[in-house]
Parts: sequence; C-alpha cells; structure tokens
Amino acid sequence: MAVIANAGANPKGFSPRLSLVLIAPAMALLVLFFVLPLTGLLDQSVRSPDLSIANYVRALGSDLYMKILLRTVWLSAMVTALALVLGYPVALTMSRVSGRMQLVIAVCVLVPLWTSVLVRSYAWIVLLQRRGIVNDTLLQIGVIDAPLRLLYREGTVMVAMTHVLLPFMILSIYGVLRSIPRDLSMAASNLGAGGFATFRHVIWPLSLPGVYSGVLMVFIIALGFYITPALLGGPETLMMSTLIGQQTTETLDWGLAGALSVILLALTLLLVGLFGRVLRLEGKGI
Amino acid sequence: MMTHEASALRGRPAGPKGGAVRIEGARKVYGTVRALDDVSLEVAPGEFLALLGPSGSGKTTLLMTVAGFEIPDAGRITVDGRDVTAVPPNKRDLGMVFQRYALFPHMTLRDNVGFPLMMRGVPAAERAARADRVLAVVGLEGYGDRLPSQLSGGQQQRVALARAIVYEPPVLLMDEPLSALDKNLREQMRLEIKHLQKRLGVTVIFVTHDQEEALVMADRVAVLDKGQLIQIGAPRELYERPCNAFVAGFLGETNFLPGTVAGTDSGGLATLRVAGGAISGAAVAPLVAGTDALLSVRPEQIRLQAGPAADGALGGRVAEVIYAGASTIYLVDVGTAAPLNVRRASVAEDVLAEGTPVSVSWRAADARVFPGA
Repeated sequence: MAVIANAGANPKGFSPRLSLVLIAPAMALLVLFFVLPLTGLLDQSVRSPDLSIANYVRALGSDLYMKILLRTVWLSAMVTALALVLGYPVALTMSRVSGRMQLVIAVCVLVPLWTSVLVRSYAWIVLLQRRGIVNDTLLQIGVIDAPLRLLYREGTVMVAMTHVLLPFMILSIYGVLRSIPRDLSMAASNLGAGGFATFRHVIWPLSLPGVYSGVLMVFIIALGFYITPALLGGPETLMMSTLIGQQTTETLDWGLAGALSVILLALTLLLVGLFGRVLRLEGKGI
Repeated sequence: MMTHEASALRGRPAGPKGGAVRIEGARKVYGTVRALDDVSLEVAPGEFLALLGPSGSGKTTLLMTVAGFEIPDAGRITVDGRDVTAVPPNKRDLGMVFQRYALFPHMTLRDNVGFPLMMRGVPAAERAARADRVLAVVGLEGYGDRLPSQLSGGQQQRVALARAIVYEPPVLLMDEPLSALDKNLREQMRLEIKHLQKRLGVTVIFVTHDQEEALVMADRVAVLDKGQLIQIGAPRELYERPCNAFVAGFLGETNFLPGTVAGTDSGGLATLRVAGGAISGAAVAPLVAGTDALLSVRPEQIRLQAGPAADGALGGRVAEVIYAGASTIYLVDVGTAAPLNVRRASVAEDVLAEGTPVSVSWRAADARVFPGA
C-alpha cells in the first residue's frame, strides 16, 4: 500500500547532545555579533534620550522616513523581479548544457559573486560617471552633446543592485532545475508535449521551490542593502540602510537609528512570514 | 490484480491493433564507440519484441532512436510505413515506460495519466474519466487523487504503464521497466504486462539485460552486442539454437568445451577431440578438420550415469554436489579446465555422491559447435 515518508524518525539523525555541540560555534558567533548588538540597538531605541517610544513616533510619523521605507520595499521588489526575469533563463540554460559551455556560464555567474560588492559598485561608477566610459562613447559618436547624468538615479541603483544580487537568484534556481530528473522532460516529450508545454507543465512547476528561495533571498538582501545604494544613489534614492547609516555616523542619533532598524527588521520578518505562508499553501500541491 | 477491462480502454472489440515497426540499417556513433552498427529488424503488429544485451550493447540506444530521443547517423525507422526517422519525439505518438517511471511528482495520478490526453486537446472532464478507467485497468481504481510519492514502486510502475497506454499508441516502448522492482514483484509484473499487451494488441519493444525476463515475456528476442544485432528469434530458438558462443553464454547457463575438429558428418554433426576423449554436437557453421572449435552444451541436457565412461561418452568424477531445491547441480571433473555444470531434477533415490566416477554424455543434436576457440 501507499508508502508515505516517515517524517518523524530519522535513522541518520544526530543525538540531541551532538547536535548541540555541532551548532554551538555558529550559535556563539550569532549571539555575540548579532543578537547582542541587536538587543543594544533595541535598547537604544526606547531609552535614548530617555525611556519613551518617542523615537518610534518620530520615525513612523515622518512622511520622509515612511517614503524612504516604501521606496526601499518597492526598489527591492523591482530588483527581485528583474533578477528573476534575467536569472531564470540563465539557470535554465546552465541546467541544460554540459561540458565546456556549462563551465563558461558557471564562471560568468560565479566570478561576480567572488568579487567584492565594493569593487562591483565602483565599476558601475567608472562606467556611468560624468566623464565615464558610457558618456565618453556617446559623446564621441555624437549621439549626445553634453554628458548625461547617469549616476545617483533610481534606475541606476536598481540595475546595479540587480547585477550584484543576480548570482543568488541564478544559483538557487539552477540548484533545483539540476535536480529535476532528465527523464521527466523526455517523458513529457514522448507523451506529446512540445518544448513550451514541457516547460509550462513540468519544468516550471517543479522549479518553483528554487524560484521561491531565490526571490526570498534576493528580496531580503535587497531590503537591507547598503553599499551599492550608498555609492550609486543620491538623495532621491535614499534607502533604509543608508538612512540608518546616516543616523549612526553623521547625526549620531542612535535612538532614531535603533527605531528605524527595528522597523526595517520587523517589516522583513513580516514579509518573510507572509511569504512562508504562501509557500506552504503552494507546497500542499507538491 | 489487473482487471479484465482492457477492451473498455478502446471502446471497441479487442484484437491486434499494434503498429509495425521497421528499422533499416540504423547506425549511431558516439566518438569512437559504435553504439549502433548497421542494425536492421522488423517488429510485426501486436508482437512483443525484447531487445536483450549487456550494458553498452546498444539496446537502449536502439529504443531511443525509435522513441526519437536519438537521431541515427544513418538508417531509417518507419512505424506503419510512415518514416519517423527525423520526426521529434512528441510527434511520434508512441507510448513509453521509463526505467525510473518518470511520473510527474507534482501531479496526481489522474493528471499524470491524463497528461498525454491534455496534450492531444481532450477536454478536462473526458480526460479525468479516461484516466480513471485506465487506472482501473492496471489495478489502481480509486487512486486518482494520490500523488506518485504516495505509491510503492510496483504501483508507480502501473501508473507509468497506464499513462503510456491511455492514448492508445500503436507501439509501446519499455526501457528496463522492471529493473527497479524486487524479485517477487518483478516476476508478477512480467506476466501482468504480457497479459495486458495481449489484450490490448499493442506492439511492444522491451529493453532488458535480464535474459530470463526476455525469454518469459517476449514473442521474439533480439540479442545485441557491441552495437550489432547478433541473433533474433523466438525464445526457444535462441536458447536451443544459439548462433554463436556469445548468445549461448548470454542466454541461460551453458558449458563450453574447447577442442579440435576431428570430423563432420553429412547430418551436420561435428566431432571434437578434447582432453578426455571425443564429443559431438551440431555444427552451426562449416568446420575444417584440425581447427579449433568450441562446443556448448546446457547443464540440463547432460546425462550422468554412475560407473566408467560408456562408449562415446566422457569419463569423469563428481567433484561437488549443490542442492538447489527442485534441481541439484553436479560439478563434474572431466579433465577440462573448468568442471562441467550438470543440472538434474532433485529425486531422492537418484543421488550421486561426491567422488563417484560417472559417465557423461548428451544427445549430439542438443549440443552446439562453434568455430574458433
């Protein structure tokens, strides 16, 4: 009769004690460098300058800050969508080709990932600055008379962030695509499905777990992204993390910085939770 | 377990409706490996053909060229007279059962079986009804809402079969479909598939490396080795009259006795000189006296008699007795490199003890003599 995977007992599972030993170093690191500072920030947000929720009232009550928060969410969503649209075909190609071609694509995806975000962001500045490569070329071939303002625009930040985050999307989709047995596409083809029908009915639905994890990862990283928006963005593209950075380094308003951080964190957790819920509902069919 | 509803599948009287498959001079080379080396064969409508061979023999490549997943470098494939050599797999209208079943894990059984119907534009309601009907044919009535992961291997196998026959293809291709099942289930499924095939009248091309499976299931067996078709014929013909030493050794068990040709008679029987005397068998090809030859004789064809060698028999000694239930295997030392393997029915009053001197003989017509050593 039906064999349903026994979810409870795992014959290969470690004992609770060994599990604890194994995760202890990572836990210690997280507590020391993440939980403690976070607690400190939370503490600051309600005690600086004195014990009140004034900082939260100030943050949530400010049109400017709320606009920046909305912009952060919107920009992150756009970056995620762009990364998905650009990344999925690459992942699909990567999962289909073999040998040298696969190596070439893998290198193209991985080398940017291994390169510092700072370097990649400065590369965009070199390309897009007033006397940068793009403007120089356009001036020389006579398309424009004066240099265009390419930096410090929302579109630029979006494109650069997509560039930085694209490998995460590609790799998480590729991982799932590669695990889809080859004979499923063969079976679909044998049963009468053409290339598009096979993709739509078999490959796409089976790749959704990779799409979800890629989307979630890119979206969350984008929400808290600092370097690229800080370097390539201007006042009208200010994002949450840049704003928080300003509070801690320029205005030294630690209370407000703490409140903004907590708001961003709460929003992130809320979105992750919502996403997880959608995922679980979807997952019922798989 | 399968119900007798096969004709309901077609909604018309049962009878042979299988397609005729013709493969002409198929060649396929991968690098320096000849996967298919000028293979030609024909499969009659409603016939069950097994492609048998060791791994790397080209049997799967041949099946894939019929399915359309491999394009032969040369040669032609026709189904019912239609040249399909260059037709993509999704336009060939052939059924196929994959080794690992290849069920779509995200679809219910009903949707899996209904998939080929959806691809053919059948409306959803009719799709579901036909899928349920075919699931009943393979003994899975009422399972339509389950997912493949909720089934055992044998049940998944049945679903794969249901999905491959629901659109009534003229030809069903099967790529080692039973290899992932345990022994008992495998033997049960052999007969179920064969019975279903007879009821539907569909032509089947069945790839296997299991010679017993091929003998039990197929109307005809095609033996392949190194990309070449070695011999094709009914199971009995292949087992009893193998055309060369490879086929003799691959199908069932056999004893090989190398010797030198002493002479041949007008009836096609050859006599070989071996270490312990002279032995005879049917020559499969003209033999030249004095050249090397190889005699093959099946374990169950050999007669043992206690006592010294009779006239025209080999003298030997029972080296080992292996009791295997219904039959007993005697390893008999006749002075050759390897002892002879002799299989006899286990009968209580007829046991030869180890060390007993025996006379070893067989009917010359039951042994085969191949040229070369």
